[in-house]
Amino acid sequence: MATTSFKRRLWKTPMRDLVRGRITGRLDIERLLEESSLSGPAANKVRNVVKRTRLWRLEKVDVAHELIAHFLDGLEAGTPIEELVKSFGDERQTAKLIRRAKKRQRPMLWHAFAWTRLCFAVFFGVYLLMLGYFLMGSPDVKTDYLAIFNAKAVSIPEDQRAWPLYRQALLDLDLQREIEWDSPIPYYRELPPEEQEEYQYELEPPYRGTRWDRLKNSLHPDNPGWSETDVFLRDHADSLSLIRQGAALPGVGLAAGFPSDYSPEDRALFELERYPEQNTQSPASFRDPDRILIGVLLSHLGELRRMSHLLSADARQAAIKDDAARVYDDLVALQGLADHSRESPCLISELVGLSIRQRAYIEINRLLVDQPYILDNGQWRDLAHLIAESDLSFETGMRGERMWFDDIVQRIYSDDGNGDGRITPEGLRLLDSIIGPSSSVEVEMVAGTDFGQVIGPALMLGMASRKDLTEMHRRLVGITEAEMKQPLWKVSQWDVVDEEIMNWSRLKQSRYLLITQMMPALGGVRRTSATARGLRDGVLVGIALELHRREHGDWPGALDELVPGYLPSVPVDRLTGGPVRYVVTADGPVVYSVGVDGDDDGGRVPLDNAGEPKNEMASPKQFTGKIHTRKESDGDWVLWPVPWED
Amino acid sequence: MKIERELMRGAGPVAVLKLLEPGEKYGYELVKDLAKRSDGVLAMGQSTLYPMLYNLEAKGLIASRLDKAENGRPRKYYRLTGKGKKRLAHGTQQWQAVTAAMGALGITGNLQGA
Repeated sequence: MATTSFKRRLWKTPMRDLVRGRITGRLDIERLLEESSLSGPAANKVRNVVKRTRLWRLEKVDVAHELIAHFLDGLEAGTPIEELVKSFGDERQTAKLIRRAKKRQRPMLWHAFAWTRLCFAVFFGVYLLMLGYFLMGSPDVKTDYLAIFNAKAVSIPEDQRAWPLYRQALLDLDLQREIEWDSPIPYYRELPPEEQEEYQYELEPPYRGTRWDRLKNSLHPDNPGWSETDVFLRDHADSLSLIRQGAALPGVGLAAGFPSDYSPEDRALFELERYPEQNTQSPASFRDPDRILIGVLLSHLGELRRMSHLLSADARQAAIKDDAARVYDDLVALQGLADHSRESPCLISELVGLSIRQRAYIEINRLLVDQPYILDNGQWRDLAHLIAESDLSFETGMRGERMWFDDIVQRIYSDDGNGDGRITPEGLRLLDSIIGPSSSVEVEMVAGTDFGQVIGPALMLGMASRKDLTEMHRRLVGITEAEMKQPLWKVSQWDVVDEEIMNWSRLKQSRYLLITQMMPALGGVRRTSATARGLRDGVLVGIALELHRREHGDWPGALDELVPGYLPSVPVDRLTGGPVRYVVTADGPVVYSVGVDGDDDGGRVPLDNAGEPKNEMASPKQFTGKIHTRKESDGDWVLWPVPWED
Repeated sequence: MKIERELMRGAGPVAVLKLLEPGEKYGYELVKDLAKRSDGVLAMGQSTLYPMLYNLEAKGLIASRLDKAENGRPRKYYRLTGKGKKRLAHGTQQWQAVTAAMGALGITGNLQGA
């Protein structure tokens, strides 16, 4: 028997033997061969096959024992060694089959581990392929939505555009000019002490701000500081005249865009000098990611609002001076400004337009109550017709919302030419910049990072495909538009789309992240729209009542008496579907909806928590019955005369 | 005559189980018996037999034990398990059915009458 070194025996001893304190060396296949006296080609066969099996050491020993025994049994049976070797078969194939068979005998735990490892390897391989697929994707921006967005503005002939007049007026008014003044803005000084703290910086010298800061809280004769406004309006009568002239033209004619798109005068007006690097850039292709429609500047809307404030103040000043023509012109110009604000098709434009119209309705209310005779019958009729013809729908705004959405989609998804595509690395970065860190959905938190790119394939699988997302958006916008057309008394849910999105699982909210984050709040739009329509109903009835009183010497006994001479029909109560209510009090007539509580309170408005009258259509929670306390809902929604705050 | 690999893959395990039916055997014994009893048709070398035995053992159809031969050498003996007996019975039925079907087609059985 061959002797083996201690070191070799130690090396060839399985751990289980070592643990038991035994150095057996039983893994030593060479020793087994030597002890078996098997030599030559047979020993080589055993040695090679065992080596090729690449099995665990104990398994190899087991196989070696078996093969050695086989050769020895053959020799004992008288079979020549050459024949045994010849009948053995192919070494490589034998080793492969033995390895496969032996591995099947291994413990369940090993099999579980092997499968897990295989699954991970397959997953990793597939993921790598997907990562490559993801990284190869790039958006294909085909449609210039900004051009579509501006189509109406640029279609207006140059000599019919209001913007040059507005711009001239605004530059003359110079509302953004920084000025200093000697005393605090009177408005803040009139505030209760606890509210003054909030505006302390306005009450301490140096008193500094823009000219608009000084004016904006003193736009009514009853406001402290009106005398300054009075002087300002008188000094800028020419500018206000330019605004009125502009408001009479068919459209604004200003193409919305990015800082570099505007003229130097407009850039100065919109204070775009803050972005000098963008101002000097030549106009980029619409395919440039920076020229995404959602990033377009709508600075002119703010200017239109400011101009509407000044026109309202001017109408008040004209009323004090009994300047009927100017009052009328200002009120007509307010309608023009409201129409102009809707030139850019988006919900923001619509909302600005509505706010300007509501300002005009309030002014008319005020005049009808305080100075009804300032306008003659013809002027009141003309105003009534102008107001009745105004479009208070949000259809154009919803069209704009679709454009905004489609533009984002074409910039974050690839395009397979059949309306489908996948999220792209560039798209993920863009999505992150659009949605921002305020989102509550976790996906966007990593979307714009390098890690976000690495997990891109997972996001690609988790997020809706281009087609899926677009179809979902189309469906929800379709519901929104249909809901907007529904009268309120037929509505069971205040915001059916928002309710649906809120009921989505977190997974689904992440899947349709863009919709979750960007779908406009139908409830808010609906409330604004319904409130504006109610106010318009009230104003039209108010004018009709005034005209009736002038002609007949008294208020009508019922609103039916106004039809058809003064009104085409009695307006519908937008909360019940019945006719609006009418009562003549000692202070005059009151036109009202019965309010969200559905019962007639004789034109009395509800009280808020502080016990103050609160003349509102309804809050969403009141409307859907989630809050229907007596205090908040007990009362009516007065449409005319509307209580106003100075 | 050398049997096709696919046919051998089906026939081999049943043949080995059948050889183990009377009692336990060791590897070389199985090789010899297979060659002798099948007249060399099902003869297989170590490269086929031992992987097959390991597979049958992994499936629980046979079991092995290590013992010493008469000459004192270690030797592994294989025996049929209960599961192996059922598989053998099932395999036997299958092969009888195949043989009968082949006979009916004139492929096996009385070839002269075909």
